[in-house]
Amino acid sequence: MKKFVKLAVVASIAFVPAQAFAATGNVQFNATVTHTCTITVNSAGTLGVSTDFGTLSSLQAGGAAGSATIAASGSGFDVSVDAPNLSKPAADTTSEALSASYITTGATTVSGAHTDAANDLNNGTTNVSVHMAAVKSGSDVFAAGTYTGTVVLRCE
Amino acid sequence: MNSISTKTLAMTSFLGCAFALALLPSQAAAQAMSPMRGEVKSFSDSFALRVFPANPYEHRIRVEVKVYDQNFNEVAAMVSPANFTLAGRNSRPVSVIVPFESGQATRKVRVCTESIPFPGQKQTTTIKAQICGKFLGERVQ
Repeated sequence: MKKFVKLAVVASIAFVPAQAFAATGNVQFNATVTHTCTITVNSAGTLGVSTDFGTLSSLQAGGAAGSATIAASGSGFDVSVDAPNLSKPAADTTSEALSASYITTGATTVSGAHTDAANDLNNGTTNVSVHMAAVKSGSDVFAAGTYTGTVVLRCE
Repeated sequence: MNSISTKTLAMTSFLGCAFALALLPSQAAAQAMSPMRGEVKSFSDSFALRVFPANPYEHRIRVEVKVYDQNFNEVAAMVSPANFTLAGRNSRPVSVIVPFESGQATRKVRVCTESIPFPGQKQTTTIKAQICGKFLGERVQ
């Protein structure tokens, strides 16, 4: 009996399961990165009026540029502005020449106007100052009232 | 002489105030969209795109999606939905179906996400953010 127990103990030790064979498996993670552009308008601009009432411009005294931030997550994007729109009071019946321009700092340092081709944007955050002007011709003046300008700032 | 100067000053002040009031800062608006580049092959007379306008900020924004050609002339494409309100930190899919021009095997379009000021901000000067993706549709014949 004693011998049998001994044998049993030896056998059980001998046949203890060996270390499990190591197996490896790959766990895959997939991702697709699509670069994009984000425009944040920080503040609108203010149009100052010239002393002869013939010009409304963000560059006039009392005027201020509009401010926006463009975050580009990759290269290959462009920045541009369109010719602005001006909404005006009914009393103002004469036409005016409209123009828009911008200047940037930060990741990209460029400037341009609505008549120019788009400028390349670098990867990163670019601060944009947007200007607008409306100019009457000759002796025309802006009538009293509320004027609202809109400039399209584009990233493409 | 003195009365003319006073009159001019009053007029200047009045107009200055009117312009300043009209041009108060608007609510900040942000705009993003992905993807911004793409090529699509189609067996039919039109090709379909799906873009995701996004609002990365906390407040809701009003969004409009428009399709333009290379010269920024609006294209008669089917955009669904074309106008919607996007909650803060959200994006949503927008389907765009663009017809090929007759006889043309390719068509380049810009799909643009534009911000629309909310009513009540009408009397402010705004910078309208516009994010445009460039897409090429190819007709497989």
